[in-house]
Amino acid sequence: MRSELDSFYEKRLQTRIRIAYFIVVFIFSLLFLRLWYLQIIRGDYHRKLSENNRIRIQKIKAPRGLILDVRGEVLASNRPSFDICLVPQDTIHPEIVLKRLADFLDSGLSQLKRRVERSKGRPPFEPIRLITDVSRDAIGLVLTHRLDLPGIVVVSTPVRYYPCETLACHLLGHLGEISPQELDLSEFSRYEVGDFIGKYGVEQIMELHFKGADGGYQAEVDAAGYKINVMGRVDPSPARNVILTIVADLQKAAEEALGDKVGAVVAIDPRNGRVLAMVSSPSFNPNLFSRGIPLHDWDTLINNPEHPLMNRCIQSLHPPGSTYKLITAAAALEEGLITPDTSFFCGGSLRCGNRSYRCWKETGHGKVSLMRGLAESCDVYFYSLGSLLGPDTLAKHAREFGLGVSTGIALYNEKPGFIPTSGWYRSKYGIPWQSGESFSIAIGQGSNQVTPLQLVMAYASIANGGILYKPLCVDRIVTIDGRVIKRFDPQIKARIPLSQENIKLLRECLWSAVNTPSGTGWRARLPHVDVAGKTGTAQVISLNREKSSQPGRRFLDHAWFVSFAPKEGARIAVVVLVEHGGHGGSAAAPIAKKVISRFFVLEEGGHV
Amino acid sequence: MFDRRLISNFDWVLFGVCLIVSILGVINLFSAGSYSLNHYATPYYLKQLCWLLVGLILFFFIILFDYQSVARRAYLFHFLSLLLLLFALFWGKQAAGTSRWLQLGGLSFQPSEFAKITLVLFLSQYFSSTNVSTPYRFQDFLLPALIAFITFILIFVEPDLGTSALIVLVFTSFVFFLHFGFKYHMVFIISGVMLLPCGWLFLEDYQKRRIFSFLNPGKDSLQAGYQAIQSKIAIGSGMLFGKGFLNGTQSQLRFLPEQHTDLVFSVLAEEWGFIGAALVILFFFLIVSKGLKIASLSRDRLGSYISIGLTLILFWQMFINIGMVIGILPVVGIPLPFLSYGGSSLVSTWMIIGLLLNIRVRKLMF
Repeated sequence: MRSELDSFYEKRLQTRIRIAYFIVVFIFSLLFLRLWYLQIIRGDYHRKLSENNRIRIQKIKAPRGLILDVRGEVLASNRPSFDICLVPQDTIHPEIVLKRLADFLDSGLSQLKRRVERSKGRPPFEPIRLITDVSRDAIGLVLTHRLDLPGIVVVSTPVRYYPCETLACHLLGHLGEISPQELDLSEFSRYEVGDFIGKYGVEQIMELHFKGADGGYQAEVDAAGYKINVMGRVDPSPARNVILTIVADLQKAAEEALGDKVGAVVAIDPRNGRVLAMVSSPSFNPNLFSRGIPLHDWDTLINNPEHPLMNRCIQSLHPPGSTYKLITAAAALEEGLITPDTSFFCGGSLRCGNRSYRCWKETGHGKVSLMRGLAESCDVYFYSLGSLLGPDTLAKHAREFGLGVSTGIALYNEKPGFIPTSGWYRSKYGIPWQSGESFSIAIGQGSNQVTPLQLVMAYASIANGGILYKPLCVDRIVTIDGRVIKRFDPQIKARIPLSQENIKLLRECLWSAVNTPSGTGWRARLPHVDVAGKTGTAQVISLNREKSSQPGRRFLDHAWFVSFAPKEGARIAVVVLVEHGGHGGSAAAPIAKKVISRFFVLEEGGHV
Repeated sequence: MFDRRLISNFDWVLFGVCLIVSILGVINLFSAGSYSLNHYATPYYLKQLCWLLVGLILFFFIILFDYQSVARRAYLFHFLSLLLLLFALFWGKQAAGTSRWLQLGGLSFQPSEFAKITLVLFLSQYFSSTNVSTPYRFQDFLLPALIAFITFILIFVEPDLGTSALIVLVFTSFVFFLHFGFKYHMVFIISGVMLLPCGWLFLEDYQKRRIFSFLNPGKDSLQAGYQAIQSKIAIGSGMLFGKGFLNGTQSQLRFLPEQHTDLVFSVLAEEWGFIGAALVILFFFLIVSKGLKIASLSRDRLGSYISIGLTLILFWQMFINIGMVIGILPVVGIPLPFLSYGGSSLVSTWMIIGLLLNIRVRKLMF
């Protein structure tokens, strides 16, 4: 109960509550009067505004961020597409309008109707796209007849455009319409049905940077839906641009050099792991995907036996062939099993058990040491190293070179490849490791599987003195005015546990493989640059080739060539894979030569 | 423990009005959410109905305990509220760049909705437990001001401008009911006016933009300005009788952003016209004046303070929200009691009504 002492205060409290009551009455009457003003006095005006929905807000899609090469050449941009749209709100008889439109433009009425049908349930002031990418003439036709076509408007939207068409398509990737599953993900909360997002390549991994904030305008429109007065406009805020590490000119040269052969070319900078060119052939045209790929185009791509959508640089798995001999040699040197002078005799073949393993040179190389063994790619020499090393020691060193594990390039679906071990062999075949297998894997045949990118990274580590980098394909992300949001710095994955002496020796061997007439890479030599490299020929069907009655292309061996230049302080490393190309020396080395020589021309011109 | 006064003093009018407005809110959400694109999610009105039931259960539960025993634990309650706010800040569910939500099983709630109630309980308990034979001195003011400030900051950084502004308004207006000397009140007013521009410095860009766009709606016609214009059109076009349930063109055609939360009143005003909107405002007025009445009838100072504080919460929310949708205040996100979609908001509103009736049923008997 209230005490007597409180009574004075009690009165004051009651007074204040009374004052508060009056303030509340005042404020509520204010709300009441304002409501009266809006709904009764200005009611007619507002009713009219709302009935015609004269004032509407329309989105302006933010153009997607650009993809540029390292020197600023545009690889992916946007082009305007003029679309004829229907705003259901602005027409009373959509049937008649559609019929007229179909007559004017000679297009199928049923298709237009289907488009309208599909957009049911959307707000009626949102334009429905009827025909996309119409010609100038069609726009003129629609605009001149606009009085007969109430509700029909021409809307321009930015559409992804790749000016160089197929250039670097596997790296750039392509777009696709966002799926309902993706829309549910929190990272896509800013997206809506019908948006196009990156589905492949850099477009996919950098998606969130490419997306800008949509703008819009608030406009008063006339009865047919045409803007008569823009009341306010917010420009879309642009997305970020992505600058790749690749050099477009080198990419072009590499694509030209590979031509229409099926295969891959990757050029990197051995000093930091930056990808300078990444070619996979056959290619596809990413422009096809920018508005949803037409069904027949999709069928063509999907049914192509050469899988154009596959990025062979990171997804094709083949035995490395003789290019693997570098790894075998490095392993044997580092294990102390051989010295540079240790030699073996090659008589054209080497027996193992009751089987004879042939050298590619049937007459034999005679007495072979490391230098000639690598340069002339003597199989017998490496058979001997293989049996000395055994599978597990060799596998250990192969891993150190980054083989059998993903390189970690920022692209999806990279394949890790495979390096066999004795344990794997036992669990797979149920028998212990066969010593003949040691022969096969030592020359890169058998169960070894690598991607072109892995191979070039391994060779780059010899070129740069033992550092295994993570390959980089994106250099930096910048705002539209060039401010750097994020820069991707070279990342060292590991250091090859190989002495500098041995690394230098191996470089010499690779140099002589290209620069001595008997070397297998002779066709890749350049007059002013010391190219070092190794050929490889991966057998496709090792034993059955002779039996095969079909001498078709699909039974030809895969040709490899991995190289770097110059020999000391290399600034470029290139791998070439030509599937079913035959011999590495003849099919792959000349391609690498073209890429390397182009690189030095560009470098001289200050373009790299 | 059960007292017959609990029934005889029960304010059926207040309860009835609140129930009617809540049900109106559910019906209105049926309309406001009817154009939802997501057909798989539970519709808003059904969720709101469930929350209404939760709110009613809590409402009756709260009435059972004497508010004096509730207030004795006010310090603890408010401490827990502040803890929850901290939790939400660091481990809360992120939504649209804010961390206002705490996830509890499948449910998520906004601790700030409950912090405002516990703050009032705390202030009331604090000020009623001191002797008031003489006016409060300045030192009596320091602790509650500090606690209110902490509450404000925790909500402000979420960021939730609307609710944090509400905390400031409730606190400052609450102080005027206290037994401070006239001198103090003048100091409070002057320092408040001087602090206001400082607050401006802490506002986010978009918040400043909203205030600008209130002053000049044409300038920012896409976001805040657009909301303001479209909601004015929606309300105005309702005219006297409204366009009829589910017939509001502005809302059904989705011209209104946030139409189920902060702009829910404009959907109601469009479809039910001046008659409907004015009736709701009348109901709101009735609720607020009942709250003040309970404050003046309370058997002790504690009851008066609690009911004043809670009534202030309701009053400011109603005023800011409706003031915003009818274009006399800047666009500030704050839910409208009973009508806006949101479980935490509806439940906390019913808890407030529960506390008010709690005081009402135990009023001073003459």
